[in-house]
Amino acid sequence: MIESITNSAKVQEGLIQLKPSSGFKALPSVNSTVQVNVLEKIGSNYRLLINGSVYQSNLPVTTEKGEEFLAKVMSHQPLTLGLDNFAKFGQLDAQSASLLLSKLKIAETDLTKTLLEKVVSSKKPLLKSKIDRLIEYAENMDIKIDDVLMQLLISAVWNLSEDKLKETKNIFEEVFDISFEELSKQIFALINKSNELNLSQGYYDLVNDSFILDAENFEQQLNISAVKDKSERFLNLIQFIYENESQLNLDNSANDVLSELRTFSLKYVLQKALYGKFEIYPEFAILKRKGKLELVNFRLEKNDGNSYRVISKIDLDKDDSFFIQGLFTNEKFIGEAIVNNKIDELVKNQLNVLNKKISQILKIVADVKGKIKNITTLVEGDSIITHQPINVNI
Amino acid sequence: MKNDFTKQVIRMVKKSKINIEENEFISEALNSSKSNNAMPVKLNMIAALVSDSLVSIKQKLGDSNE
Repeated sequence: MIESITNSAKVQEGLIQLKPSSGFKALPSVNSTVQVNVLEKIGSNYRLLINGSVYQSNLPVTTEKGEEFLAKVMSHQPLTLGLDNFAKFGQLDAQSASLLLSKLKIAETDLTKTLLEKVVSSKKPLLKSKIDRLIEYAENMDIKIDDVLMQLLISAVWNLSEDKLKETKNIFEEVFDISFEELSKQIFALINKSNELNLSQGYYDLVNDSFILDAENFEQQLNISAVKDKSERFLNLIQFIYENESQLNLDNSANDVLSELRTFSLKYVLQKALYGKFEIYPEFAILKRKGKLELVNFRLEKNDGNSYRVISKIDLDKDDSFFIQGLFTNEKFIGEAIVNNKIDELVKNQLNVLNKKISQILKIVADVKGKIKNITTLVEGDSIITHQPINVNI
Repeated sequence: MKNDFTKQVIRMVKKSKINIEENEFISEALNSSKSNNAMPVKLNMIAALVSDSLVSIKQKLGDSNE
C-alpha cells in the first residue's frame, strides 16, 4: 500500500499521490501518460520532475537519482499516478506499445514490443533502466525465450541487484536451454520409451507411483503427487538410476534412455527451483487412460487474494491444442474450455462431467463452459471479461 | 546453510553434464524450492481433475474421428 505524503489516506497498490514541491505548470490531463524523472531521494521520498514541474512522493520501488519511468495520470485532486495500469484487462495493444516505447526512447523492434507487453501484463512499473537491462539481457542470452521464461526474466531484472543478475546469466542459459514445455515432452517421451525396456519392477513401480495419474481409477484414488511439484520424486528417480545402473544390465540404447532421463529430471528440479523463486509455476502431468499415457501441461498463477489461475493444455496433434483455463478460489472454480471451431455435444458433455466431479469431490461450485477461439481474461468473481485473442503459450 | 535436498541436487549436478557453478543464488532457490512450489491441496486436485478432463476429451475426439 502506498500512502500519500499529502494526506494519510491509503491508496491502491501501484498508485502514487504527489504534492507539488515548487511552482508548477498545468497538470497533465487525466488518462495521459507522463514521463517521470527522479531528481533526488529525500529520506523515504523522492523529488520527481513531471512535465516541467517538481513534485514529491514516495514510490513503491527503490530507485535512484536519474531514473526515468512512465506513469498514467489517474486523477488531479490529489494528483495520482498509476504505475502499473497501462493496459485494459492486462494486455497492451500494438499502438499503445509503440507509444510507450517512443516515450521511453527505446527503438521499436519485435523483441522490444514483446518484452514491453510482458512487462505491462506482469504489472511491473515501467522503469527505463529496468527495461533497458531486460532488453540487453534477453538479446545476449543464448537460448530461446518462451512466455514463461520471459516472465521469469522480468521478475529477475526487477527484483535482483545488478551483481546477482550477472550471477544468474550463466545459470539461466544452462538450465533453460530447453523450455519447460519441451522438457516435459522429452521426459514424457523417455518414460514412454522406458516402458518398452525390460527394466526392474522397482523402476516401473517408482515411475508409476511418482509420475503417473491413473485416470481409470480416478474415483477410487486421486494420486495428486503426479500433478504437484515432482522435484523430490525426480531426485529419487535419478538416485535410483545411479544406484541400480550396474544391476540393470542395460544395453546401449537402454543406457541412453536412462542417461537422458537422468539429465532431464535434473533440469526439471533446477527449473522448478528457479521458477518457484519468482512465484512462477509451470507444471505437467502424465495421465494413464485406456492403457495409454497422455501428457498435459499446465501453469498455476497466483491471482489477487487467495485465488489462483489454472491454465491447462493438451496437444491434440502437432498443430492443434485444447485449453481449459479457470480461476480457483476456495469456494469455486470458474473457467472455460477453448476450442478452435465449434463446441460440440462431446465437449459439452465432458465439461458437465468435469463440473460435476469438481463439485462432488471438492464440494465447491464449478462452472467450466466451452468458448470458441478468443481467449478471455478471468477476473476474481463470477464475471469473465472478453478481449481480443491473445496467445496462451504455456 | 544448505538443506539435504540442496546438497543432493548439487551432488547430482556435479555428476551430470549440466555446467553450472554452485553459488548463493542457486543454493537459495533450491533450499526454498519445496516451500515455494507448495500449492493448496484443493488447487492440486483441480489441476488433476482438469487434466483428466482434457485427456478424456482428447481420447473421445480421437475415437469419434476414427
